Amino acid sequence: MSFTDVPSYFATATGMNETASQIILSIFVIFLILLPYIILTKGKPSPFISLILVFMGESLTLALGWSPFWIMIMFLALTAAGVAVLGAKGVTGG
Amino acid sequence: MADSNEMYGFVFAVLFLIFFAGFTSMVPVDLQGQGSNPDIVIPVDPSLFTDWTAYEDYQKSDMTLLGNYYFLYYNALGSYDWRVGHTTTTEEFDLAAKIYYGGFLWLGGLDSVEFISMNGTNHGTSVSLTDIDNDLEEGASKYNLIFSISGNDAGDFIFYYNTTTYASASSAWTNNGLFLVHGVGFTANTDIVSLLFGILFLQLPDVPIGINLLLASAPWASVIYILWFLVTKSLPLLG
Repeated sequence: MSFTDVPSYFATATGMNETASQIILSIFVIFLILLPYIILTKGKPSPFISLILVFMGESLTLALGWSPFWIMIMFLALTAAGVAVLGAKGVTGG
Repeated sequence: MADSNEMYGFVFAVLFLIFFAGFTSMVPVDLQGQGSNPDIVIPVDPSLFTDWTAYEDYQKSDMTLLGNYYFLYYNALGSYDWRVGHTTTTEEFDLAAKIYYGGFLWLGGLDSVEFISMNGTNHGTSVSLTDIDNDLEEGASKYNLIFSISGNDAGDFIFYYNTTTYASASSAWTNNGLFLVHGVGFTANTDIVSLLFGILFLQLPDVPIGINLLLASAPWASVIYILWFLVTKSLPLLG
């Protein structure tokens, strides 16, 4: 058994769809990476550092073959939108 | 002069496109997309298909006969649940993935795949025993698979049999000697331009078309907004 097969075993054990299993396990891993930082900052994490940690977690789960790569693209689109909002506010003053 | 909301939208759209393209180009090369590698084929033992991350192999005895004319086999492979069938009257195989609504509800909908032989011939959504014999090379007939609706990659399919024991695929099938292997694999998409074009033109490999549409909608909306803004502000009568 390899790390890549974990979602398959999890899906078989719980009787759920394999994609759902991949996503749940990926969220779990990302949360595990994020949790120490949230605790250390006493619930007031910096959005920028949180983004970096989520990105690291997402890369890890993608490398393990747990999460489909379009989740990464979607995450990047949301991050780009967030940065664009900040930029647009800065430029137009709105 | 544009009002502040329009200017805000314009700046947002420009920055979004810049950052989205920039971030996407930073995705590590080996993580970009799933596909298949058609180069490794050793039709002796499925465990030797090392470049597939997953495969399913089966033969006639694994399939269920339905109504005396259709052999059926269901399996889960990669991101999909598959149904492979063989119609006895036409001696044709077909393969399709189940379409789930909301990710879990299957109402019988199927997304058929098309079989494309190594010489580029598209056999459509079914391949016959005669086709298999015609496409036979070194004891195996190998096909690239694409979904007929989206054109996305659906892996590879190999039919093989012992050509010493059996004179044809038909004979091998009758005697349970024809083996079917469906494999899906992982291939690095090293070209960032093709990834961006894949997002924009709904051609991402192994990504459901609805998700691809969702991913493409934001960049396209930004492009359209920028064009609208530039056109209306450059033509006084429209502005």
